[in-house]
Amino acid sequence: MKSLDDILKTVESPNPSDLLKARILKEAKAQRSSETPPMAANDNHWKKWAAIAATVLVVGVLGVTSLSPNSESAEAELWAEKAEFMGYEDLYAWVNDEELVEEQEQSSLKQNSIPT
Amino acid sequence: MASSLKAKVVKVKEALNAGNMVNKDPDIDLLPGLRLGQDEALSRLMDRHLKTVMAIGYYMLGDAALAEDVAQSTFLKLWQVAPNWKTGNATLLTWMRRVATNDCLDRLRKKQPIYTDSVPERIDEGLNALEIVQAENRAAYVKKALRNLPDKQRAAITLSYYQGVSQKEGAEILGVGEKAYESLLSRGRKNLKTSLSPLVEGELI
Repeated sequence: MKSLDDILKTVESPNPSDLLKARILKEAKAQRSSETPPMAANDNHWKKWAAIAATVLVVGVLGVTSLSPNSESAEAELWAEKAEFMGYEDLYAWVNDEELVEEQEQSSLKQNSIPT
Repeated sequence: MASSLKAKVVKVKEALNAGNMVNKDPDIDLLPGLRLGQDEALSRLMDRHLKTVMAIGYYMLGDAALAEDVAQSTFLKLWQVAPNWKTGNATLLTWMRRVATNDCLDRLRKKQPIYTDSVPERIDEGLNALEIVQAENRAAYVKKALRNLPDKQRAAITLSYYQGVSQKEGAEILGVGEKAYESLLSRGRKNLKTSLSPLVEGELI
């Protein structure tokens, strides 16, 4: 009885045939004269650029999706802060004043646009 | 205080040296020649590693002629990629081991489309206990046991037992995590012990 390690050692790989090396060299020579080399299989350089591109894409998508709905809520928050500071009556008065000004501007524009 | 600092510096130096040892490719001297397409460099690389690469094919496929095909294909692939080879990643030998192993797994996949992960039964293909213990039959018996292993387990056994690679390198070659590699190796050992139980002494599995 032997250990598994010893038993596995009983199988030995044969030596390469004499012709194998010559065959590979001949094939290699033929390949080199006819081919352009492909990218090295261990070349991970492209991964860096892929990672940068993916990061930019993710940041862009997140930016677009997160900024647009928040812009409304941010505006609402500003209004709320302003209301707390000024008081709601002042705020309404301020809004009404602005509306009045806008109406006056529009009516003056209409008057100006009437052909004489 | 000073001594503990000195000990830390020594540890860091050792770690750095260990890292350099891992990254250093012993075949780096042949790389310029390989890049330039010099036959001499390829010839010397084959002198160093042809038997090793062929052995992967032999243990995986169980056939010398097929193993030579695998070795030829592996060296020719290296020859193709050599002009653009980037140093600092995998060593030439690790890369060749990976290519050879994947080549074998592809060949086995094409040959045996149905994959099974079941534990093989004891082999009783006309060999009785007396014949098994005879030296001339032992190798054939072990070869059959290897052939009965699931492909990836056989690859792990081939790399660890017959190529002597570390678990880290084995995992890198098979493209799996170290834990997964350890599991493949462990299951491979267990299955082999089941198959080879008449030959294996009472080791704990």
